[in-house]
Amino acid sequence: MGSSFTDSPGVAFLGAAAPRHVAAWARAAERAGLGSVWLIEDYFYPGAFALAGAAAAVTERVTVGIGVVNPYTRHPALLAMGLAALRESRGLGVQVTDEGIFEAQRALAREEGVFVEPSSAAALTAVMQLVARKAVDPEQTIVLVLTSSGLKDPGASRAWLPEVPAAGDDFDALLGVLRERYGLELHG
Amino acid sequence: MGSSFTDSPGVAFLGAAAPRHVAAWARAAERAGLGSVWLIEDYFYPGAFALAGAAAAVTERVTVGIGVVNPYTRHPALLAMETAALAGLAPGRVVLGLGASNRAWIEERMGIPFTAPLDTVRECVEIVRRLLAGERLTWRGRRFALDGVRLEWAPGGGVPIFLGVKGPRALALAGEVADGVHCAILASPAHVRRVRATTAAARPPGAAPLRVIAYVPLAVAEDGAAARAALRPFVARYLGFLHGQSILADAGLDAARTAPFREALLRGEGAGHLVGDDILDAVAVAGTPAECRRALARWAEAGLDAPVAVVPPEADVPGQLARIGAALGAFWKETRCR
Repeated sequence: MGSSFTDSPGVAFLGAAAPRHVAAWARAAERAGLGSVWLIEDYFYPGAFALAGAAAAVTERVTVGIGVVNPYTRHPALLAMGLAALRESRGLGVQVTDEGIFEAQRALAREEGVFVEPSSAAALTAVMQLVARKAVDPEQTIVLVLTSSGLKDPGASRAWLPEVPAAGDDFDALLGVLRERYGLELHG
Repeated sequence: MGSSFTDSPGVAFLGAAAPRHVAAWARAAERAGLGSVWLIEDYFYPGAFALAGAAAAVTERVTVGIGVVNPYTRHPALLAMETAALAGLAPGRVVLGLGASNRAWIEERMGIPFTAPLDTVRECVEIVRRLLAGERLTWRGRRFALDGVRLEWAPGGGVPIFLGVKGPRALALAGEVADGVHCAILASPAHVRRVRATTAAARPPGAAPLRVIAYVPLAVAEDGAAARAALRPFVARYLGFLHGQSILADAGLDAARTAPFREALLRGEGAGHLVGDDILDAVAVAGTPAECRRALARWAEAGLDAPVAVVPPEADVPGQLARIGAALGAFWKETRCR
């Protein structure tokens, strides 16, 4: 594969409506001159390989990316088989680690003020890897869709979060915690 | 989905060339009026779900079948996710084929313990079916555990699950829990009869009729001798692979008869010249349109709902599909309705 898919922004498709629309969306991305379409595989949303096959079948030029899948629910040999099936589409997969995901999650919180679920941050850590190995130009505009809030799965983020104070179940207690712990003066 | 996909023969796509051609082949199958296209997942060939997604995206009417995948290399929740994606791409025209695969591929080649295959398949059928129906599922089985898993998008009912199995206990399981049986390549009318008998004995009272389909090496041409010649090397290769298995014994081909094919395979030699007409007629359908219709009538009589043509990938696949549709499509529909 050439590096040309990074010459244009890409787009990620996700969510429950993807199966019904992926063909039309992929065609639209190609018409719009985007460089890549990415199929996100969030649990328990529709699977990425069937969607990527559909996107590959209705496009000619755009790169089809799997972003991202893991080696727990599919054996690596099967991942290789799926990627082989997509190779004609000049697709790309990136392997990510938990540490990389948490790093991306922290970066989003710190730089953008957005707290996302770890699986949402997986696409960012993949892009960070691609930038580090110069597969992506750091000056490029790349669209990542952040698929769900960090509050959906706070347990997974607890490892790196500072201690989260507990407030009572009334509003005044909450205001008190915000004032004492974070110096925030709010008035209801 | 209606029952209509078995009104016409189907076709299976396989091999290393499938990714480059699957879109064209699937369109050709639909143009030929075939009922279904099946994506075979042999290890270590290109994976079935990406190919099935491609076939689904370029067709409107034909049923898209996965034939077959196993619960060792993909977790059942993931199988449900991929199947849901496919069902959204091709609403009402998806069939999921499940099987155990085999110890040689799963354990010896990939190092995944090939534990309790029947339990594994049984649990997988129920997990996948209930997830596809939209249920939130907590499951504590012998092989799998799920905690409050629910698909974010479920197609509801309507994705039949077929089992690609052949042994007596696995066939009994299929009779008990599956929507259909997908007979492996080199089945025969006698094998279909055994499948019918074994599954019928295990079918719960009141269950919907079980459908039986089979991979059938198929070649049809006005020049019958050429069609038969085209299939001989292909059938010889599979006789070498399946040497000694019960599916061949059903066809009257015991290990003594298939040993030369195994030896040729191990030596890396072709053995098409050893495939006599009796062998070809036992496990394949090849010849002129009239000869093929006579052969298929024997499969229908044995209880086959639909043949799924396996066409040698080196053949002119779209041309073959057009000939299969023209020569056998209407015939199969009439035969089934009789």
